[in-house]
Amino acid sequence: MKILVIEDEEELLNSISNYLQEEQFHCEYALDLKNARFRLNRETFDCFIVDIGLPDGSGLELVKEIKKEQPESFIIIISAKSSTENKVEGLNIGADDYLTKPFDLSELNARVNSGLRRYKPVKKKHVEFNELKIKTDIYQVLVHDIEISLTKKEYDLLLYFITNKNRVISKLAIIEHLWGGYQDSNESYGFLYAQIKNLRKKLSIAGCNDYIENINRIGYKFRAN
Amino acid sequence: MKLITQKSYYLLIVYFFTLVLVGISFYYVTNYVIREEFNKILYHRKYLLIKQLSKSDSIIKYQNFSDQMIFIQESNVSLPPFEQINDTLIFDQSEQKNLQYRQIHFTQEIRGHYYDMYARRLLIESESLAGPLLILIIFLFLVLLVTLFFFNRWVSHRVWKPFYVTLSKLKKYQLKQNDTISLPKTNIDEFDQLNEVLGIMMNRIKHDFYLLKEFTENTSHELQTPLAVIKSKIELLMQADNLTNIQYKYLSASLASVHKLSKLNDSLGLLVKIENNQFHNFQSIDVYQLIESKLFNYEDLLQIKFIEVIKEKVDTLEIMMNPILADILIENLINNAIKHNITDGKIIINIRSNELSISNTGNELMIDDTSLLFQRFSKSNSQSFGLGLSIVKEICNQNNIDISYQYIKDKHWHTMTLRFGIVD
Repeated sequence: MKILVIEDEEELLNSISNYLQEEQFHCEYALDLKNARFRLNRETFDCFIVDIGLPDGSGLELVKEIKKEQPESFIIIISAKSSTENKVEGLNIGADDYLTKPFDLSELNARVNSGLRRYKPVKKKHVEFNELKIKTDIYQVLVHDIEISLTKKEYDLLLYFITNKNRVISKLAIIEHLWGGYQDSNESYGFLYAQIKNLRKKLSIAGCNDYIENINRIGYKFRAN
Repeated sequence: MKLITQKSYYLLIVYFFTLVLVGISFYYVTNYVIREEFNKILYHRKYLLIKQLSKSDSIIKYQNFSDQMIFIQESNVSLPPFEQINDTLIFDQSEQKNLQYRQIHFTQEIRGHYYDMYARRLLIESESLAGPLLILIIFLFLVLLVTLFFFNRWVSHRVWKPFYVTLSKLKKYQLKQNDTISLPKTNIDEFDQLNEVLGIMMNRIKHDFYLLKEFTENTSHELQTPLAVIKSKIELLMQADNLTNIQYKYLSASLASVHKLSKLNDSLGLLVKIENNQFHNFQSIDVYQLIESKLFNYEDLLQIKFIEVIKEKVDTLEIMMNPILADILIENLINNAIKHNITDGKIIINIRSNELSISNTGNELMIDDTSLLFQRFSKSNSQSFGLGLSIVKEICNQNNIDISYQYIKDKHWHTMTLRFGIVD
């Protein structure tokens, strides 16, 4: 899987490629529009991560070009502008997703994975992890090939965990992922604990191993071994 | 106190003392002039007496007039020449009191005879002069008072009119609404100066205000990228294998702060955009439908807290509003009603033809002044920035919605009431 990240802040670029590389993604990068166009004309990528505020112009222009040149690829906009109009504008001109800065790397990873699944044949839309199997096209979760019933939030949570397996994910990142930006009170932790508790219970009843590990205060890790 | 009233007070004090001073001097001047006049008369009388006596002394017979005007005494011995003019008091039988006279007392030698003579004239009593004078002064003072009153009214109508025009324009002026204020030219220098200075000042304030707003907007954008870097680095650091508990604690705290900062940024940016009137595109919005969809999003949060939602739809409520702002408005209100609710609490949503009220059970607020509730950074706990309600307030302000908050103490009910289409 080849990803081109277009972002002028080098440190952010490093972080993104560092995180995504571990997921067997091959990350390439461009610091400005000129460089990005150069790469776009020579190589094909599965996914583009585009910042809007670039030193030599708007990333929105680039999105249009990508959509024309490589319509099969998946485009995620990362931008400091968080308003709905900006999002709508970005999605209207052909981006597939819009992520507001500052984002969690685990969230970016989840979006990239979900985006890439979208263009794959049905068979490959299945996310598998040991005895767990998620058919993302029909929102079905199987443990030892037996379907279990999860709520929407529990499903999202499990998929998020598996996508970011073996990574420490912060509680805040999960809360943002599940409830969006509006919950910022102490109580949201309570909501999260309740969801995790329910998910664990359902998985263990179905005979699934407990992969969810509590990482001291900060968050959770979906441990593979 | 009005400037003109204040001025009148001082003027009246000055008038009062001036009038008293004028009265006193008038009294003394009158007294002096009268005496001078009397002196002339008395000298003339002396001249006549001497002239008469030099012709014949028959006048001596008439010397004892009842009004004691002239008194002549012939002396056998020689008298030294003498003359004196002064006031004297003589008891009057008919009036039973002393009366004041001006008299000339002199001696004269006429044809070998010596005469000692007095000529007198009744003076006007001092009291009878002072009385009318006092009345006159009081009358003058009253006349001044009345004139001043009408003069002031006239002046404030005519002369001060431009000032009041300026004042009423300034009262209506709102920096946010980007309106320019035009202060008309008057024919009074001071007011022209005032208007000119005000105009310059307002332009400067407006300029600074927009600079500041631009700065706020830019800052909130520019901060997001560095925040993204910090956040990503923390996340990468979190992945390290051999972190101690205390290191996790530090990372967690840093992450929470970054999260808070970016939320603050978002809210401030939004607030500035609302204030700048950057939301146009009005559409008709069914409030009930909007609330339904928001409640659906919050379903699991409501379940976890065991909050019961009661919807009372008395009437259909449709409003003309920007859909994004309407969304934020309702979202914030419902979010608030859940956030500040208690376990096993309730939310009552009441919709009428031009009114929406959202009530929730909850603990008493820590702040006394509920108007502070809508102000920025007035927070109920350290977790939130208290920007949610100021965003709500700003949206309401921009859309002519009247918002108020009530708290029923004994039942612990908090109610937000929104009245739509109130034109002020």
